[in-house]
Amino acid sequence: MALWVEKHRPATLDKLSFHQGLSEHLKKLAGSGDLPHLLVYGPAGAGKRTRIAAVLREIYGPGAEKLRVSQRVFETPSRRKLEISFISSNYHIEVNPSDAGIYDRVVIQDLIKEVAQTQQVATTSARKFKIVVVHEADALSRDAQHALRRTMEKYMTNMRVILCSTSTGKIISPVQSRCLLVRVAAPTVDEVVDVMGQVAKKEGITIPPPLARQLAEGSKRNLHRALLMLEAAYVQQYPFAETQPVVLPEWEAYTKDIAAAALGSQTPARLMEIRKQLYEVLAHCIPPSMVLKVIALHLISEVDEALRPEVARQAAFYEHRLQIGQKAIVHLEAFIAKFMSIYKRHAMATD
Amino acid sequence: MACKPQPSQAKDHAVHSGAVEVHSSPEPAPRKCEADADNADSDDFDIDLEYDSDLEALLNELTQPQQEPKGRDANPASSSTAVDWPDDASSQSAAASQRRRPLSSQKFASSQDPERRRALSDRPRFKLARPQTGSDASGEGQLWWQQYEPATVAELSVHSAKIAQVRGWLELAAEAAAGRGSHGADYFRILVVEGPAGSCKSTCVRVLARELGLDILEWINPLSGRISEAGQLAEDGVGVVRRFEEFLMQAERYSSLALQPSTGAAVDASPQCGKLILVDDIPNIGHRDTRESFRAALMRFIAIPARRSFPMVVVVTESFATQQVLEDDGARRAVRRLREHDTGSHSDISVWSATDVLPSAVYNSAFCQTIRFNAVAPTIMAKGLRRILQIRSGQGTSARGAKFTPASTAAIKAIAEECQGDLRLAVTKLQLALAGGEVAAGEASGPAADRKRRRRGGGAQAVDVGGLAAMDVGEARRSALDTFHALGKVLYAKRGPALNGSARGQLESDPDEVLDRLPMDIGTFELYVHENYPDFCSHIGEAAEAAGGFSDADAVASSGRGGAGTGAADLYGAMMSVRGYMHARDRLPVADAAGPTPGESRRRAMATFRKPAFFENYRQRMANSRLLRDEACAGVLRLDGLRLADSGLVPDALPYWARIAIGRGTLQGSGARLQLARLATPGGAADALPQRLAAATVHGGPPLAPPPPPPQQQALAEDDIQDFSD
Repeated sequence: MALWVEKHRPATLDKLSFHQGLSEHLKKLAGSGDLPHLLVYGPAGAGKRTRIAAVLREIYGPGAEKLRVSQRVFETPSRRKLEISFISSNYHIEVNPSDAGIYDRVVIQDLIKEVAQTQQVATTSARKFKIVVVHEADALSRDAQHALRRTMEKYMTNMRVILCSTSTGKIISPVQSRCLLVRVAAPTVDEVVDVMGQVAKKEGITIPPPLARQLAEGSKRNLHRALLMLEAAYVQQYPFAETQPVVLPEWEAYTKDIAAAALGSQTPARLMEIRKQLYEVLAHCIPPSMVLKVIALHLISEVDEALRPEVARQAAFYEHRLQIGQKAIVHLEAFIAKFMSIYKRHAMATD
Repeated sequence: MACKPQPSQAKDHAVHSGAVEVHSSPEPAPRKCEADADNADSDDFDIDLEYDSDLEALLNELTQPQQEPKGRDANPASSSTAVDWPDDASSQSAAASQRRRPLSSQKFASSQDPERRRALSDRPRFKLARPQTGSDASGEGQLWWQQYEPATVAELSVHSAKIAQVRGWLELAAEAAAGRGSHGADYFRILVVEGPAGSCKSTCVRVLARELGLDILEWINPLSGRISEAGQLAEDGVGVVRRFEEFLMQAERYSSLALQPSTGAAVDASPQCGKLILVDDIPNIGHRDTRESFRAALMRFIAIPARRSFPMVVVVTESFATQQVLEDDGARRAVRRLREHDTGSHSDISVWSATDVLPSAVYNSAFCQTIRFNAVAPTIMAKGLRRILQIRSGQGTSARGAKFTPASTAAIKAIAEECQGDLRLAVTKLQLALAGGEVAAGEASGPAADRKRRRRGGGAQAVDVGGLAAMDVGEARRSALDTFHALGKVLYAKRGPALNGSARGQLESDPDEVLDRLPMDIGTFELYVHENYPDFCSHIGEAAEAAGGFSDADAVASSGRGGAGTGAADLYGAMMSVRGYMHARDRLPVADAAGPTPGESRRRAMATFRKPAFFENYRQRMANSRLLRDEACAGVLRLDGLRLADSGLVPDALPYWARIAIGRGTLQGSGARLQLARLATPGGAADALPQRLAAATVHGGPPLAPPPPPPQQQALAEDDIQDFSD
């Protein structure tokens, strides 16, 4: 009983339902006998992983779908042991080096070297190169990226790298220039609705179009999330009612409440209450910048138009602070306090 | 008593005191000292030699066990050091009173027997167990806490109830070791004496052991330099512990004999008496392997029956990192857990307490008892300090009626209070206050010492300790601030009256000075201030400005991380946050700024300080992310295709995963898509998966429909689950 999102994941490039042009290109690329390094980028839930898997299958055949998970221990220069898990088939290996924290360079180098130095085992393989898929490549440290750049050149004969990231902004340009950039845009709402219809059909359920649209919009064009939402809604209540509420993640609702609290009253005491709530969200492993984003967007939608640019400016400023700082709570709180101060001043001026 | 300086001798030998200090140091030293001794023609060194000869004699006895009793009887005095005792009657009597302290009593003997000393000087040397005991009688080159170490129970600066406790334990344990203990006495195997530094732990044990006639076998960590000098591999900690184990076992085997000097054990041998194993010098158990084997050695030790071994006293000096002492229990645990996280590091124990030193199996067993020493109370400490001053002024300890001038009394009191219960520190401060640079340099010139004595001597009834009165009291005040004091200085940010038309007065306390005198590290202090500042802000404008300061500070401090300038960046960060807050506070709102509304009255009442929630939050987040990671490997990801943990999944997918998983009721049919689950959950916890997923919800998403102060997570999670299964 796999989740629908997994069960109905298209396995081949042909079956992908949107970005047809891209699929054609990838197919040609895979069939050409050689493959450049790829940098696949696009927002979450746009189908990056699905496309990568389909390309692998296109190149190596169904054998690329026989996956296994394994752990490996890497030793850092300071003799610290790191255990990294990765997924591999006979033809490729997938790794998420952000697991390794600041030691990702070691992992990247060791892994790629190892893969590159072993010849393709399966003699029947159509290709003599293996593929290393690096997820969350934008989380790679600069060191690791430089290490990658060197190894990419050195082992070109029997190894290819596919990087998967949400944006190219954090990938250093030498690496970018060595890769073919593949942009996977988020599907439009219509496309999401379309895919949900296909899944519903396969599952033998009917979904009222307004609900489908609502879900698609609630998913923010994240197909992965949309399908999870659909399944969650199905589990909760079926047959669907047209007015069935779309369930948003609890943390989002909770975070929006924080924004509402900031709008409600602006005192140091309220700031203390909000701090507790912020701690609560952070303790649940929600990335701080996501918290900031939800709060800021909600605030911007609620405040007077004249204030919006200033709120956005503060949000951007503290987003930057989150990136360079270490104590997320301090910056989130400073943002809230700044907002409350601005908001109150504005309210008093307009009174 | 015995410690009382012998004026006539002292003056002559004061010159060499510096050499004595050198002499007490590690193995390589003796050769040098030998040369010194010959050149200087001093009597100061023979103490060692005689002591060494004593050891040698004992070694000889070791090799010829049958003759041992005989050799002992041949000694005129029952102490083994009697070989070298002169016939001088006064010394003899001193020796009698000091039977258990051969080392210190040798002060009398040695100085009058230069002939013998020269004869002995060629002998091989052994390491001294208590180097400070081998010193000249004047003690000018010694620190006072060594020189005036209490010799009798009456002189101890310990609460009498504590002394009684320790004595009771020692008596029972000694009886048990002698085989005539009452029922249950067999359990008196290990006594842990725990307490802060300078609270007279070891001295108390030593003095009592002497009083009860127990000989002390003391473990001294061997110095690692020796072996590497010989061109072999340097000793590691494990080697030391192995020797420690040998030491413990040998204590049993040669129960009435001395130990080999190579184990570093000092022997206070006297065959008729019981013995006491004293472990004051604990091996370096910060290293994990050493710690393990040290604990194993202790485990084996308690396995020996009481009558075949000796009781052991372990003296554990507590040393906490300042910040951990100050926080309450919960926070200390948090910090400790953070450390545990870092399994790779060698020094993952940073809090030394008896539980860290002893294996819990030993510590919690019936064989181990604990007596806790508190820091010495100021009154008791003042008494101890006065005792030393009395001795120095020549009045002797018995002179109860000794008077001090009011200035001196006040100075003594100031020292006693300032040292926060560390007697050793107090005595050293006293010495410093009186002797100035001489002592610090470790040398006292003869004439200077002379003058001093003349000035102070003469049996004046009211002791006026001139140096004390003149002591810079301001110096004493410069010590660390109390946590709350430091916090208060910053948070209240009091200002003097406004002058010259400026909007407000000067800050009463200088932020830099506060930062300079913190009782904890700067980062923690910042967190404290950050935790509490909103309570002190009268309106949101102030709070916003202060909050901005904290944000700036964190950015600055983080930028320095990892580079060479870490320390400076931290300091600048703290300055920014503390100064930012103090500046923001009570700043009159600018014309257009949001002033306080009627509802926001100033909070001038007594405020309660909170400890930072930061550490607890960090711990929670780590625990949750670990759980998520486990869950991700075990159950959830198996459903959602094989994928590696991805930071984006937590906010986007986890809430739905949990809903679906719980809503469907069971996950057993989810097909063994690869062996991911089996790999990640040892013990095949497939049945427990729903619960585990429920747990993932608990930790993965904040509660549904949350009321502003979020109640217990657990309770809300129950609601969550019911919601889904409807």
